[in-house]
Amino acid sequence: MTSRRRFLRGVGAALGVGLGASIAGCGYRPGGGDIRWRADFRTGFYGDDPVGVADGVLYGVTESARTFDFESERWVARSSVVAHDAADGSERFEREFDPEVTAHAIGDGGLAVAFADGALARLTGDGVQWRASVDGEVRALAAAAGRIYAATADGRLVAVAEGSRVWAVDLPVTEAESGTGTGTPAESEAERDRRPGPVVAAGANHVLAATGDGVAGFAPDGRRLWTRRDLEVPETAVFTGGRVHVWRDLHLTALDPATGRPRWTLRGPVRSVALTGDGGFRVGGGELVAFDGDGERRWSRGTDGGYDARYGDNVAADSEAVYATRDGDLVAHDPADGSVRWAVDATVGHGPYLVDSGVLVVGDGELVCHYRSDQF
Amino acid sequence: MQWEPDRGLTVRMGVALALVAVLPVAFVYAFVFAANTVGVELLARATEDPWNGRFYANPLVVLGAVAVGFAAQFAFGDAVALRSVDARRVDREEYPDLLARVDRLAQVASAPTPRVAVSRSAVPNAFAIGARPSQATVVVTEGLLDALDDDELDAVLAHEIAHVRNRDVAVMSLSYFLPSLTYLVAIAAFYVLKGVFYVGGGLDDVDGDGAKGVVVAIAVLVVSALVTLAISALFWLASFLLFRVLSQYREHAADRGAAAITGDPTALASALRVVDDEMSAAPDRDLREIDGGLEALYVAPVDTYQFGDDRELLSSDIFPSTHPSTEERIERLRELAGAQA
Repeated sequence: MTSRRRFLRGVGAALGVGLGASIAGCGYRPGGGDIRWRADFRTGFYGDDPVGVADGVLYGVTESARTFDFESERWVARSSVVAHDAADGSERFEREFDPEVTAHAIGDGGLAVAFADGALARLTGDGVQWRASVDGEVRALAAAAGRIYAATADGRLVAVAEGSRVWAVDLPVTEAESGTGTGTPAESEAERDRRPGPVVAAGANHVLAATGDGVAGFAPDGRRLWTRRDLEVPETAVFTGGRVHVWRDLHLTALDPATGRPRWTLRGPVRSVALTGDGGFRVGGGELVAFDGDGERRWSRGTDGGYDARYGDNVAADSEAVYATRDGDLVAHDPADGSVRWAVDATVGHGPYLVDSGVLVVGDGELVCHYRSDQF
Repeated sequence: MQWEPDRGLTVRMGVALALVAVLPVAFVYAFVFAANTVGVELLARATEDPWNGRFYANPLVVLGAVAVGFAAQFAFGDAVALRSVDARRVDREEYPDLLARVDRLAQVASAPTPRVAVSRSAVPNAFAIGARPSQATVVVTEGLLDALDDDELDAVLAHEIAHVRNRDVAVMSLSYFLPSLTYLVAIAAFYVLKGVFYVGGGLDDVDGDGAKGVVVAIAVLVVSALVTLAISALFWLASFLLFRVLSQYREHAADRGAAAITGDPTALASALRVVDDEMSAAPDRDLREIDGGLEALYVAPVDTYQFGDDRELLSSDIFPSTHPSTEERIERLRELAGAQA
């Protein structure tokens, strides 16, 4: 063996020791968009579609799955709920239910589910917390401040807490109750069927319910606070920061929850909205728009590019960034000016959802958690 | 005698020590930089996952690792050097005359008496090793003992004791750390490349997605290895340039020191001439076959082994040799003798 090799062997041994000690002080600090963890998550025909995250748990729901019961020799409708821990993607539970799900809502630290037989259940990461019955098919749900609010097909708003009915009021909004009514009493059955389904949203101090006839506000004790027929029935409504934001198709409106009076309206296509602090972000028509607390546009992206610059239908935001999908990418923008913080390839079927461990997306049979920001 | 410190040598050793300490750290951070530029891109292609983060190396850990490397060099350097030239330490019973000469010359130089080791090599040469003057060892070859007369042998031994007295032996030992480190890393990268091509040759049966994955893996490994080789080569060159420039200056300083100790510069000039002549006539199994590193320590340069038959490809203008030319040294020693007369 030559002298250099012998010498280097000795040095190599010493370096090996040094290297071992060095490993503790050397490594890789992830950047925004890096993958934090992955977990299996089947969606679609063979799995449950994600519906949202509450209290560190991602819930997925299969509203209806018909299976053949060989014992009774008949087709039966079933539904299921799956819960995954948002910290590491591990499955918390999976439950099957006999009746189909007619409505579900994320909120108040859990998931509320209504079934075709009029049953209602509240679930958290530990499973079913309580059940109740609202006597009728539930079309829409909301959860807040320990209560679940259910809008039924026969026109009632029912408040339930800990498995017991607290109160119920009649819906829809009638012309007589409307402050600025332009009702159509002679409306046909077919016209009624074409109306949008009921919507319920709840905050700590107010409840909003909308049917095809208008929008109404309630106090948590069931008192009707206001009724408006001049408001188009929204697709979705969300309470935040003392306001309730409602949106449908081509406009987003902020209402005063105490009076129902619109504070501002931001025009433009809306598919989903993320609200943060005094403003928020909306996506729709391939465009991502940031708006302030007065509904004024701050910046927008995706309006001047080609197909690959168009944004998907979902958006999430925190004080650090706004997260959206764009042509196969998951993109994080600076909320202040819309500049791209990071963009990574991602197969996104559902999401993004914000969780403590990062930003979650679901797609291609996987639940993937990305780091929200640089860790260095 | 009054030993006159060489300020030029002291300054050069200080600069060399600073660079010797800084370069290994820079070497590590060059890899960190490469990992954060080329590396993350390669990882992204290989894993099809985003790599937006940063590799890092804690400066304290890096400094600690370098310190461990230097400590290893100090701890094992002497033993490795002696083994590499097939030398062993000798005592007064085996070589009474040689040790008596070393004793006497060390006393004249007011230096601690170094230990003595003899190499079995037939090539006439000598060098000194040791982290501290008190732990120094003067190594001579059997060829040197046979080839030189008494005065010439005294001159060569005085030259080595001058190295010990000047404390440049320790600096030279430390200077070997980075070339050794870069050599190790480059060899590792080379074997990765070799393995890639070896494995790549046996992948005829791979098809479809598997083939794509293999191609990506091979590309990533090849680029990583090439980047590693490039960085290692760059730092190897930098450290060796520094090392060799210092080596040339210290040889002149040791020549002057030897002349001061013996009072006979012509004896060293004569010894250098003999060593230089004998070098080319040495048998095949000699110091030139021993893979180098220690060349810079020798009293005279080993002419041809360092880069094999391709040595001429390296210009001495940009890659200075470890020693000044023997002719130049002899000329300076004669000038010194003239001045003494």
